[in-house]
Amino acid sequence: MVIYNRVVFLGWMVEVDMNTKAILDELIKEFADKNIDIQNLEGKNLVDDLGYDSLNLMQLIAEIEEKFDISMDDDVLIDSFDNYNSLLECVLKLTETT
Amino acid sequence: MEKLNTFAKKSYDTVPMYIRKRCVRDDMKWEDYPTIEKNEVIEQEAGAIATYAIPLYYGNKLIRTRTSGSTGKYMEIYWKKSDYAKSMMPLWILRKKYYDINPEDKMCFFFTIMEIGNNDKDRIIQGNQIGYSKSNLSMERLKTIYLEMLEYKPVWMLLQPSMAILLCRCVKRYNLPKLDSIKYIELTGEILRDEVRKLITETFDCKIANQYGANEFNSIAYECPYGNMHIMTSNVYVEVLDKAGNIITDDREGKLYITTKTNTAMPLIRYGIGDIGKIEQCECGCESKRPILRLTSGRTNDLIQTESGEEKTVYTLIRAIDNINYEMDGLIKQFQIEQNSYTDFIIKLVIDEDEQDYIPVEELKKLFVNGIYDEELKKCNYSIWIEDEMFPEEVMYDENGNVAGGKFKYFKRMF
Repeated sequence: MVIYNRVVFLGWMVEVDMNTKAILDELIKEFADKNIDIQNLEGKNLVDDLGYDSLNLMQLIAEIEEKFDISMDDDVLIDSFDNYNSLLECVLKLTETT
Repeated sequence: MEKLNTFAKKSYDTVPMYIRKRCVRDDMKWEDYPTIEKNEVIEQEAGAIATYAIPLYYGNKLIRTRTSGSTGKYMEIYWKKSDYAKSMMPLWILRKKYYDINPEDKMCFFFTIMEIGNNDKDRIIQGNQIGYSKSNLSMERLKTIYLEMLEYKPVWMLLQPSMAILLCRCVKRYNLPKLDSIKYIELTGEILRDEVRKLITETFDCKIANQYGANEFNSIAYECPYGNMHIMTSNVYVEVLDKAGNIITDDREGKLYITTKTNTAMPLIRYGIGDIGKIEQCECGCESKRPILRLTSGRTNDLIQTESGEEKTVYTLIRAIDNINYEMDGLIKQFQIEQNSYTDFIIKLVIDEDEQDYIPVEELKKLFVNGIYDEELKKCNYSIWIEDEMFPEEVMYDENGNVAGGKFKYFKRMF
């Protein structure tokens, strides 16, 4: 079941597919540094705030693509890979169109 | 562009090297920021580091890398750990997307120097990577390395084209079996010529990609499966400037200036990398919208020819220069190696002006020869010349103002 909710996202009030967001959040937390206590991912940087390195980033991208059955655009990905908000925006766009 | 301007403004507010220029204004446009050259940064030492990172610098908390000396000059680069990781990630994303290479895949590489001084190793193992020293390579040694690779089964290799040539020749000479585990070879550090690409493809029968990078920035451009070198826009901003220092907006050639987008500890803004090229905005089969970089000059590399008929990599001698720097606290600022016959070499060195009167050339020669691990090269004749200055970064222009020549070669074979 897809749940839509209104949340503050990227400074605007937008509708966000809460299911997608929840799954993405779980995936991001799964590969993050386990010593870091993560509550809210909003505005977080995957490298600076969540302790990501190249290995777990690759794993995260592979998992995202598999779980949501999407292929993330290389240009978007390399320009926004480390920012949670950009990553969420990218996944939401792609899941809308698939 | 706004983000880049903010990054540059912050750097000019917090890095002593830039603060001293006293040129920042509120209405500053991108093109108003001065360009900087390697010489200028080398002279700064800690002055090129942002104030926030100074405690990290003195606490040895920054990652330190060093330019390879491929321009004949060494420069130390400092990175905050997370910045370094960020700068590497776009390359990993594309390695995976284009060539299905993951960080956990086994790989082999060749290094010039790992531990300076007498403890340097022939081989190092770092997790899933094996590195081999370039300092004492012969065809026999390469054969041994290749046989080890056959057992290790690397998935990919990171090579300089000159190193790849030697490896291909070794496979052919000894009729060695194909390295079946290899599915990708990344070439970096030198211009990749078509004939070299063909040779590698024929020898290893795997995917090949060219990666243009520098220790100052990590990856600058990376080849997609359609053969185009797309700029790593998340890591660097690349500009092409003409003789007068104006930004070239069409596809004419000029000198490349690079700005980091990730290194906040030692942010190089509009830095002259010393290569010549042009930027093209055209469609590519890979569908990337990132601009394409075409290099027209770079680090092409001759091989040393020896009396025995073998070709050897010049890194054997560069390692010996590193040895002098280790023993004499970074004395050598610039170098150039000339091979004049099979057995005669001239080693041109630029050292600190203050030190010139106190350093006996014979001592430098002794340290240099001690740093050569290759027995055949150790027996050659070396003349050490102390030079006041060398001007490798000058770009030559023809009468029409077009770029006619470029980067200085740190190794020249004169016969």
